[in-house]
Amino acid sequence: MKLVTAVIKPHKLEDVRAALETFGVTGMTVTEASGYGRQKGHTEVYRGAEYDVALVPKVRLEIVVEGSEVDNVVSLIVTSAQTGRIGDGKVWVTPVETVVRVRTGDRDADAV
Amino acid sequence: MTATPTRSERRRARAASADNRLRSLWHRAIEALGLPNRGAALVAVGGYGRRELSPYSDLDVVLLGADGYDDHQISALAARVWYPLWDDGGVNGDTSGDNGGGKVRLDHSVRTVAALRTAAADDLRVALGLLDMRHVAGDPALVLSSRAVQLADWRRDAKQRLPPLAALTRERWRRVGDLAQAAAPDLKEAHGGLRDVTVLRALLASWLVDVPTPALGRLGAELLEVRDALHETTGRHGDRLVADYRAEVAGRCGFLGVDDLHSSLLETSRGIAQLASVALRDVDWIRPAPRPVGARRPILDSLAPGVGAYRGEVVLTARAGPSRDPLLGLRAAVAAASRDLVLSDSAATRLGCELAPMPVPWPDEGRALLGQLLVCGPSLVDVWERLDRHGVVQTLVPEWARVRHLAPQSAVHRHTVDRHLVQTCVEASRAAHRVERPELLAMAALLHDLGKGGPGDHSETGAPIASGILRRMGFAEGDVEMVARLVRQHLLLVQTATSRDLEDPVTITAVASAVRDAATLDLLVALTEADALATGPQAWSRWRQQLVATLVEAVRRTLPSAPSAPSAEAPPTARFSRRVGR
Repeated sequence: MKLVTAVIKPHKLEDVRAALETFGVTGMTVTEASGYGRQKGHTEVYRGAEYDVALVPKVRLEIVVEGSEVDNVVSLIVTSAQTGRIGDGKVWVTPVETVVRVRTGDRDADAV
Repeated sequence: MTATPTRSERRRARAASADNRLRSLWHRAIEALGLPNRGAALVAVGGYGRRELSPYSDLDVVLLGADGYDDHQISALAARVWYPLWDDGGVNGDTSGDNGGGKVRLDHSVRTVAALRTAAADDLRVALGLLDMRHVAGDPALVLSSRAVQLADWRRDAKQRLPPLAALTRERWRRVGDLAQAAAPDLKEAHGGLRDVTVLRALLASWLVDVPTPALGRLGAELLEVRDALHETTGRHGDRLVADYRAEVAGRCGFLGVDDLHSSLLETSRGIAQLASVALRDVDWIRPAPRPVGARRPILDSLAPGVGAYRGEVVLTARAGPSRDPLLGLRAAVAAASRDLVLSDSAATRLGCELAPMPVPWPDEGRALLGQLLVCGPSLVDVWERLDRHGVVQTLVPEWARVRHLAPQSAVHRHTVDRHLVQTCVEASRAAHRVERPELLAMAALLHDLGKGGPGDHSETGAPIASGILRRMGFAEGDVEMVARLVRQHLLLVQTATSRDLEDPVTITAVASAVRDAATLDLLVALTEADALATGPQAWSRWRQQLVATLVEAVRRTLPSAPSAPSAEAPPTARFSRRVGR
């Protein structure tokens, strides 16, 4: 089992969700997140004054998938979240030891 | 065949069962320690004292010792009563069979009569709990005399103790909010909840404040029914009626559905809130000194034609004629809200019965008064609620009926739809200085969700409803269109900011063409912020603020005649750091 975590632009959430649903991913956790990568934020003007925007709003997705599906899921996220501009985000994969569905007690593949 | 016991009977049965269990432990302890059944007793206090045990209510028990009772003996007694209860869980014995014999929390203390008296003198909550003290086991004379002392102390010190009780109660109302207007009401602590019933009983026991006892008993019992059903549904202690449990609670209480339960709760809690408000105002007028001798008739401070102030309340004067003066309701409301006074129940009742309908179109003064009322800030909430309860709001704006008491569809909302609209006005009043036309912002705030009373996208259906109301009120056609646009677009900024590419010029152009000009943009920004703040903390997170701010600045740059709105305030996005001198 693997945990796929993606930090993407907020407006790309629907595209990513739709693509994953088509692929058969049935659930995910979505969190409002803020952060920055290589672009180090950017400058904005708010009510006439200039500000450094240190943290840019993003959406963080977390999806637990079987190891065999990881590459496909990552590719789908990257393709559907890409705009080609700075700040498109990151996707990373981490191993998961075990998964339990709270309602039934099902484990691992049955719980995803 | 025996009839199923009512919930009230089951509450008493739970108390009786707990009494039996405690009594048996008491007698075993007395026998084992070789003590006489005098000089010490077990006392039920609070809800247990009143025999109002819901399935998972706490048991409040005091082990009372006569002054001078041996410390070691009373400790040994306590150990022999409390420990078996902790060891075997189910305290109340569960004769009703509806709490699964689960553990009930025991709230216990050991005190002498003198220490109990001191504790009541030091802490109002203890004093209130002790007003309901009831003998369970041990020396009945000791409990009787201690109860007589508690009541005598309460009555003797009432003039000093009731004002702090009123302040504590109001502070709780501010903190927890109204039961009738909460999306997930707290049946105990909210304004109009069970705690208010206890406070009212304490006021009644002081002999200084009169409370209609039959009404109080009936309303309290109605709320207890719902609380019992909630405990039965959740299988645990807790008083918050969250949306997930409503349908089952409604079914268990015998209501036809969630809406029926909701209306019944509204009526009950508003009834309790009303009794509590009247009683607390009586407390405000308790004076340690005797009443001054002077004029027999009440002296009113005149506030406006037909409107005066008397003892902190706005009342109608003898010359007021609601049936021939359609503006009187708004004049009284503005007089109350702008001075943070209470609109008296007598005035609200009379306005509800007699107020003449407003002519169409409204006179200029009517629009001006409504505008003044809507920007009064937090004091608007109570005044509007009173006008609404007596039907005055519906006389002025019949469309209000669409959203009256309407439960929200989304868990993000903390208020019913009508209360949300009033709260949006309160939040918008804080932004009034940032816009050119604060009266239009106030009208949009008041009307932006009226479309929720029917099918379809509420922003779209709400816009023509708002237009109709504004035309009837005599607003200029340009203003009517502006407010209709605000209502139609009130979700535009948040929805676009959170779901569209803000770097795409097409997104910015689409928003700019919907908004049209800088003045509308300023109004829409203020309305968006007020709407979100009134909704709840999740709706106006830093994340959302920052996205909306980014969108707004991009749109503002495309509106050529748009000067940046002047403001000394920090931007809504907390993570901005000001660049000075770079």
